[in-house]
Amino acid sequence: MLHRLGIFNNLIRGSFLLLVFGLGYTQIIKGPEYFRLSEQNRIRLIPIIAPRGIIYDRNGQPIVSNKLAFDIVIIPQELKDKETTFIGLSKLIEIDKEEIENIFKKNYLAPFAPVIIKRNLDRRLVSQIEENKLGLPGVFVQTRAERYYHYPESTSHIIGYLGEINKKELEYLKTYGYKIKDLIGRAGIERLYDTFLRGDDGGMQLEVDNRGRLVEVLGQKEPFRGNDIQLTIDIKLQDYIFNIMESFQGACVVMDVNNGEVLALVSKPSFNPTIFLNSVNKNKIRQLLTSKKRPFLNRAVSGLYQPASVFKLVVAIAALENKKISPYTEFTCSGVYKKGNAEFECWKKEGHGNLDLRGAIANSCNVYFYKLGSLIGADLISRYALEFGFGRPTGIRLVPEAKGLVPTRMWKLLTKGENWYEGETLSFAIGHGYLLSSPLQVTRFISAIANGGKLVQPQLIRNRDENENLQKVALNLNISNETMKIIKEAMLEVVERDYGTGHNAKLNSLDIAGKTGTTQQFIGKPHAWFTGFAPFGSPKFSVVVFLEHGGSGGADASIIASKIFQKMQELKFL
Amino acid sequence: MRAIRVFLRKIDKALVISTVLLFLIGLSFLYSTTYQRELVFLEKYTIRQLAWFIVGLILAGVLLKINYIRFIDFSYPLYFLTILMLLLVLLVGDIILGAQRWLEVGGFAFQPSEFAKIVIIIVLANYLGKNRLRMYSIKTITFSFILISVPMFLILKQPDLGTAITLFAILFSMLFVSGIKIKHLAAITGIGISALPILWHFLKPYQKSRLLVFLNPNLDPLGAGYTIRQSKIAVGSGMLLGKGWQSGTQNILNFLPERHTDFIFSVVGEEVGFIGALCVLLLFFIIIKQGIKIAYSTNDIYGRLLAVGIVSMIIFHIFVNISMTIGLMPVVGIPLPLISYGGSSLVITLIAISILLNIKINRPIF
Repeated sequence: MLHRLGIFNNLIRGSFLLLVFGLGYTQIIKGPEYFRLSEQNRIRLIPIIAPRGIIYDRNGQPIVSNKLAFDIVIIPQELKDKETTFIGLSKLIEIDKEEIENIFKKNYLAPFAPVIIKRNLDRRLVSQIEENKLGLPGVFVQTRAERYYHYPESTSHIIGYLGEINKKELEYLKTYGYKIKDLIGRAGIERLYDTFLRGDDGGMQLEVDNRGRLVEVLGQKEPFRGNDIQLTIDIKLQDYIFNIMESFQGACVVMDVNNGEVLALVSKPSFNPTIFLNSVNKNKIRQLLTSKKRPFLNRAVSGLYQPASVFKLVVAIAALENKKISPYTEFTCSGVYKKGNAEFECWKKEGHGNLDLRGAIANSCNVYFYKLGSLIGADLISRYALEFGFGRPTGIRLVPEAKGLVPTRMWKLLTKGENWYEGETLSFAIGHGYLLSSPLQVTRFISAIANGGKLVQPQLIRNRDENENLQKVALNLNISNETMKIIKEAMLEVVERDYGTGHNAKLNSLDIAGKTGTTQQFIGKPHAWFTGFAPFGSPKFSVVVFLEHGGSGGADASIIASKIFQKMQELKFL
Repeated sequence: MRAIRVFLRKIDKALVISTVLLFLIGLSFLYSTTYQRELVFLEKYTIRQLAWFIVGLILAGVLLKINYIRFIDFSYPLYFLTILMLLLVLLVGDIILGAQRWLEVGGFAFQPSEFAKIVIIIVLANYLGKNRLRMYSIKTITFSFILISVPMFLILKQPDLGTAITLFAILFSMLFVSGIKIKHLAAITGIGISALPILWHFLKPYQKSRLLVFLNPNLDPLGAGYTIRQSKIAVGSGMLLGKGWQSGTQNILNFLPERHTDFIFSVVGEEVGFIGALCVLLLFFIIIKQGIKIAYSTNDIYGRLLAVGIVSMIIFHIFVNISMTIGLMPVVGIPLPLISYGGSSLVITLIAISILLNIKINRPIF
């Protein structure tokens, strides 16, 4: 019996030993892992979204900032009687009780996490709810920083808009601290400088119990607003241009000819970026997206059009630089130019008679340029067009920027499988045919004439420290001073002379040089261009106005341009 | 005064001190488990447990005055009294948490199944002691089986699987120490294992799911597996030194169910860590060691068998309970002696220990 007792004793010792090993394994070896699990059990994180940086204009006027938005939320763990609260809330915010219940169910995350029932309450309702608070336990008003667009319609093509991050974007942006449900820039500056503008989100660390109810706030990290950005845009000018363009579709660009700073970049029609802040507006957004007017197309940067008579300046420069003609070489315009069996007309049926280069530019004579074009040939025109930055993006970085098209013999052979016809040289010489350019490209070209042959890089961001760098970006095209002088004088005549096509742009207080363009359309009125710079003596700014179906370039486009120059004088730019 | 001094000299001091220490430790953790941040503070549990301790001490003291041989003499009347109480429980007992275990007498609710454990030890000590020369016989073994099967059946009906299994463990240990033949022991084990599928059939659904979850803890992490998972997290997260008294997050944030009763050791593990858990184990080890020592030191076969029965009962509780909290065993409702909340278990453990002391004091001296 004592022998058995001994075995029994050993069995007991063995079981104690087993327990010691079991505890050691659980607490020492697996301890850290279980500790992590226990922390996961009790700690929840809820983010506090940081406001984005403010976007200012060149004078420090805010274009986009943030405002307080009020949301009505329910904190589930504070709810006492769902029914009465839902009914009471339903009366207050005028949403069906069933609808509120649905929203609550759909967005419920955890007992401590506020469920947003309605966004963007107006202040009157906010104070009403605050007063009524005691009657509705669990209902709170929560504040949130929301993007505020001071000039929603007139700047949306530059600023862009915000949207919720999607799965694909999240995948490659995760490493940069982007989270699910984050708002991300979808176009324009908001997209281009998203990482710079977005703030550093804060968060709250909460301790919860087994049912997820908040027990204690353990810690809070304050959110930090993102970095501010100053644009080269002058908001007063921008907004003014947007308004005087009235119901026209088209674009307008104002640029500093010496450093490429863009003072205004308008595209019409436009949209209000505020609609993207609320998913309620899904239908409105879809409507805009499918609208035939294409309000999301930034016509200044991504719209492609034939530059028409404005392009004659390229042909003129090419001819002068290559000594194909002298400034005094004359051609006769009889109103029509015959090439083989085809007839090419001038816009003036009765013809311009004998014209030198200045007269041809001032009158925008087609026949002169048909003759000049066939004299110098398509290859030379293409070469100069490319040098002046047509056919490639300007690098303004407002995506998607259109690169346009400069036709060449090789291009035609490769894409169309055909040889170049001489007739095509003629339409090319007056800026029609295959040639396509964006208003911004045209603006840069006009600036290059104004500044004496330097191709500048268009700038939207004002960065004082790097001003020197920006100067370096300008590419000197080495056009002779004589050529430039003749072209500029011709452009002055376009506006100054009574017969000049851009005479409508004339101001008594300012010497403006310009060139109009009229792009014939199959349907409807032609597209209208006015391009120009001022002051003539020491050019500072170039202005390009483009109106879809604006008729002749000398009409509304020139009138709008003159108003812009006048406004710029008011604003002390000129 | 002299009587007290003699009593103090005779009594097993290590056993008494360990018992009191374990109770106090248990009480402090009971206090900790019922303390919850910003929720209702359930002080009454601690006070009630203290009251039961005093009741238990008085009973243990009174029983110490009676020579343990008298218990053996009265084993059959006690046995029938127990069966009567178990029947009563099934007829008029209170149902708590789906099980009918409690009898109410004068405002005190107690569990006859707890009482049954100690009576079974006494009855078996009596029967096996009388038949100590016939331990080779199948008849002896069969009859001892029949002795425990009646109360075991009634307890299973409650249902109280834990206590029923404990009775079996007690029988097994006492038969073993009594000198049962090894081949018989093997045969019993064989029959037991082959009877498992039949027993499975009689289990309640929740008992089945507990066993299934033990085999695969990921089976139902929010349902039956929840308790065991949370318990493992609690014990494990205590690591070496623990999170501190009343600072166990699994405890105070209510992640651990039943933490004042069957899972109180999880709180011990979480709040005082491996070191603290080892201290508790050490105190239990002292109690068991003293029990074994008493079994060795007496020449009286009845006293020795009683001691073995009591030791087996206590060690079985300790082992199953602690193993359960760290997932080494399936969840069967077995309390941790002296620590878990529960009056009947506490009083019965105190009585069991008083019987151990009794055996030492009243051992025959030749």
